[in-house]
Amino acid sequence: MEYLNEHLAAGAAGRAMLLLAFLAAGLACFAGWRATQTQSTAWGNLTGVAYAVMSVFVAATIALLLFMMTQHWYEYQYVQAHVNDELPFRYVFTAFWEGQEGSFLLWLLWHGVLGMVVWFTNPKWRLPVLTVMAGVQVVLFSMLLGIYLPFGDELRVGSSPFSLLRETMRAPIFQQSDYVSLIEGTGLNPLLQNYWMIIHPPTLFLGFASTVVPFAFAVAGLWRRAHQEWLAPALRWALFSGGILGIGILMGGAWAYEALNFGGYWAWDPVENTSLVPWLLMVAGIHTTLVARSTGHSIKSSYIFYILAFVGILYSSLLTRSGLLGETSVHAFTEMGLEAQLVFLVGAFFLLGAGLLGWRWRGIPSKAVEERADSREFWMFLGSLVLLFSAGMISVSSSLPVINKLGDAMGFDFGHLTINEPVAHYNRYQLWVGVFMGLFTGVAQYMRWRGLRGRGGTMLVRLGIAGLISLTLGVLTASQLLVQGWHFAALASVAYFAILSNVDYVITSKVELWQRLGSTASHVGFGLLLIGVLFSGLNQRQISSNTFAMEGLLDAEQIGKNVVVVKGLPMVINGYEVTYLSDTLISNRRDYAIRYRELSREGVLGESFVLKPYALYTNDFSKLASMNPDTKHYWDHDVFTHITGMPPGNQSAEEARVYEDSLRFERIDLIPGDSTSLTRHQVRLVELTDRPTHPDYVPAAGDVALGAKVELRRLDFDTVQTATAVVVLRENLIYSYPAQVNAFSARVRLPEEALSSRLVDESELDYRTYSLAPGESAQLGGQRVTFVRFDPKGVHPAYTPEQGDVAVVGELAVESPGEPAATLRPLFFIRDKTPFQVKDIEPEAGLHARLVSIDPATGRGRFAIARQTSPVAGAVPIEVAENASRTDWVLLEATVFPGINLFWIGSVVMLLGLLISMGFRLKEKRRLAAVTPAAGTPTVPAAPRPILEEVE
Amino acid sequence: MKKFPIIAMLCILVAVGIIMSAADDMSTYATFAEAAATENTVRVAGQLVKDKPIDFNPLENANAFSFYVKDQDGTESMVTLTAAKPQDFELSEQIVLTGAMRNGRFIASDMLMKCPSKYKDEEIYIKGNS
Repeated sequence: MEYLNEHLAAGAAGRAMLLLAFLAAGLACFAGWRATQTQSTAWGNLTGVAYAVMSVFVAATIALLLFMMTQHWYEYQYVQAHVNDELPFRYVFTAFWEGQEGSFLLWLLWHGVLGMVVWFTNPKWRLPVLTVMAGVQVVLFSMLLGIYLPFGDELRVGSSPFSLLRETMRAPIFQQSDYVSLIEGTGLNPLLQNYWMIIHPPTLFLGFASTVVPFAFAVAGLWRRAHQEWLAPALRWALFSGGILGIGILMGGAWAYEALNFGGYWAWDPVENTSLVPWLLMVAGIHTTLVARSTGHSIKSSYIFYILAFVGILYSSLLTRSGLLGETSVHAFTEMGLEAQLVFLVGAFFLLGAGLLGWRWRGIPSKAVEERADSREFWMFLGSLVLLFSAGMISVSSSLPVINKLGDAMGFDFGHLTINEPVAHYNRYQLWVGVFMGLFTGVAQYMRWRGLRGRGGTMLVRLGIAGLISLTLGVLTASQLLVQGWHFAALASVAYFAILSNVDYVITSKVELWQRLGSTASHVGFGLLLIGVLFSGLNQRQISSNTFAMEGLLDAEQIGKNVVVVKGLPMVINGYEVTYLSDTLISNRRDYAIRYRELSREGVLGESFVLKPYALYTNDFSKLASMNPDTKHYWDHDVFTHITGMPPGNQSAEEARVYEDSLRFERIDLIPGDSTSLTRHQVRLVELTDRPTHPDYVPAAGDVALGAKVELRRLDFDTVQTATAVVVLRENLIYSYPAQVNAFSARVRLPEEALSSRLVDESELDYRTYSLAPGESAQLGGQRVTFVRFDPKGVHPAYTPEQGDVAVVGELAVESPGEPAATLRPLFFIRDKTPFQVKDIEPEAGLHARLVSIDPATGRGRFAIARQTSPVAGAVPIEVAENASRTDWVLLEATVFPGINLFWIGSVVMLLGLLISMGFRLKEKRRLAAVTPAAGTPTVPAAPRPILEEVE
Repeated sequence: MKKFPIIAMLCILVAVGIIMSAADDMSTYATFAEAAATENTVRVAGQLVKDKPIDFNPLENANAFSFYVKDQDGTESMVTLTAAKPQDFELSEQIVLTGAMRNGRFIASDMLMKCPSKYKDEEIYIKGNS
């Protein structure tokens, strides 16, 4: 079949570019290998050119796909799945990397950029390093090929971002040649429509991508047996990687804290854990490399850490992209069906690294002498071991689903293991990681490379003083915590110890300022982070706790995080007065305004602030899509709030219907002025109106509406509330607008029949024609109708003027015995030379009137007037439910996070420290290049040059 | 004295200690019968029983949400989650509960739901009239 309006050229171009990029990466890999082995300049140049071509194709592919997304070409599966017409432009990027294919492209792009940076900055190492990076690119590109190989059951290699929708699924709509004009996009998950999601993924993926560079240097070092020289460039890149990957992870935490509702920055979710593990390994690698550069120890561990860090990144992709985590993680990617390829990716590069390391193991220089206990390298090595332990524990615990699956595959039946309380589990063990990290960090700063050598006395005294101060501060800090425990005191003490020892170091050390600043910033930041974690984790306090609930059922800490707040009723809870001020629906977003006022023990109201959490509905309004929190930031604490529940009517159309059905409505028939009694209320129909007002009802032309103003009187309290229920007929559909009386938990609505009692079949009316001049009257039974005037500017609720219309209202005054005077305003208009009449009804008088024609010569109007025989103002059915819970409330959770800023500041300072150190190493490199003559001899001096050793 | 053999020994001891104690944190998914036999916190995996009552009345108790779950053995039990009712609860395909049995009722402090992916369903969005 020929399809209309498809943009097939774009997809073909995209596939071609991906294939060419794949081939260019393969060429770069091969050429780099040849060039490294043969020292051939021609192969060398080809490597650079092929790598550059590959990078340009990736950039072009991304540009093309982004363009297709902005053009809403929904015939493409990737476009259809991630954008829709309503998506604001700024989220197109977020939508782009929401999916697997887009995030792979982003990863590939960063690899391309980083490879080019290596190419231009490191002529000595670029060939072997780019060989490795191009090899990684080849495997990653294969994920996006979307080629079917004719093995067995059609083996699919990769998933193309340029697949057409009709290729990926079968649906009847594809039998229509114009299907493109009929489909709409799915749009971006509302949870991701947050500014953090514009910058978090590119940063995180830059962090992911950067781990390949130290890995490539490690492989290159092994390959060329240059076990010393690779350390310096690898260290610079490892510092960059640690800094950027850490910032990327931290941004994810910030997004979770600001936009998600689990109320925290870290949830030990497997997705978070598997990106933390490579960061820990990278940091361990940085420390062992420092040791190796200064003392010659720990070269083997440096190799191991960089290889593991990169393999850890690949493993993390396997877990998040394969659906393996299904039951333990809330935010994994959807499956792409490429599990086998992902396993190959992890396995191939693990085997490459491990195999090469094993092959070269004996040739890697290592020191025969052990590190001295008073040497810095000893404590740094211990610290790296702790990091390795941490990474190992987190990996194993997060990998339980994988272990279960492996067990199944191998036929073991040990049941499916799971961690009972994941957060408590991780916290319990990682606390000790923190304690030892802080301790070793501090001790290492008092030691010197290769031992103190005669300065032990003063150093130990300083260490002891810092230790004592830290212990005192730590115990004091722990006493301020709401949860007591000596292990918290230990963690707080080592945090202070890490800070004090590094402050001591930065003041007294004689090494270059920037070198001192880098390491001090990282370690002080780490100490601050620990204290921030202690306070924000243990001292967080639910403002919204409800102590009555569930008492005696479970432990006190698990009791109630949610509290109901009724609109306009201030509620005093845990030191705050909380008031639900308002909610406003704009487009598909409902904004809440919640006012908090601090309340002192003496009951004095303090500072007040308003938080605005909001709820987002799906684009078709059928239900709630997400609820976003809001936070008030103070320097020493945050007040976090989010909506956890709302009346069913606000949640979804389905819930609203279920709720309406669950009410026990009693039907009563009333005529205006009459009343009757139900179980708890006396109901009086005050009046009926054709032009009712209701907060949810927006009148439109052509509506037939009926409103009933009802007065409810509580029998036991003798208080009165009034409400207006409305029912509307619009374009053959009945809309009901019930009235909620929250004070009485009652609900009043008008059934459809109420409206039909107001409608009269035109054919049953007996119209009589009257020709009247202004001022003349006609007598209809006891009623007298007087033609007042023509009104050329008159309006009618059922009439919408259009350009070129000629319209006139004939105003009739009605006098009925014993009734107030009324007016009828039938309208006559000519549109496109055709006359139309719009009739008017006066229900109280029971009159229907039309303006049939106008005689311009005499100024008379011809009116058709009918009297309704059955009385309009008869009894109207009204339905009242006395069990309708109130609908003017929200359920909210409010938490105070003390010291959370210490966590953020500590983390940022720690990561900036890594980047400062990287800057210092770059400066160092330039200085060395200026000093040493630029003779390109790759031969190595046998002993490590202690260029970074402290001046003593 | 050689330090590294000592460090290696310590590492092994610590590792064994961690494995022994961490094993307590892990278990297989329990059934309601097993949960009833112990006081401890367990994890139960199962499905929501859709034709039994699902009760959440925040105006009475905002932190008690009750429903019925059928575990892996097919046993049904009433469950009370000590939190608010989560979004899209009725759509859940699988539920993992963390909690303990108390007086014949499973009191869950935490719940993970596996829902059919909301935004990726294999359904084409046909444009409306507008």
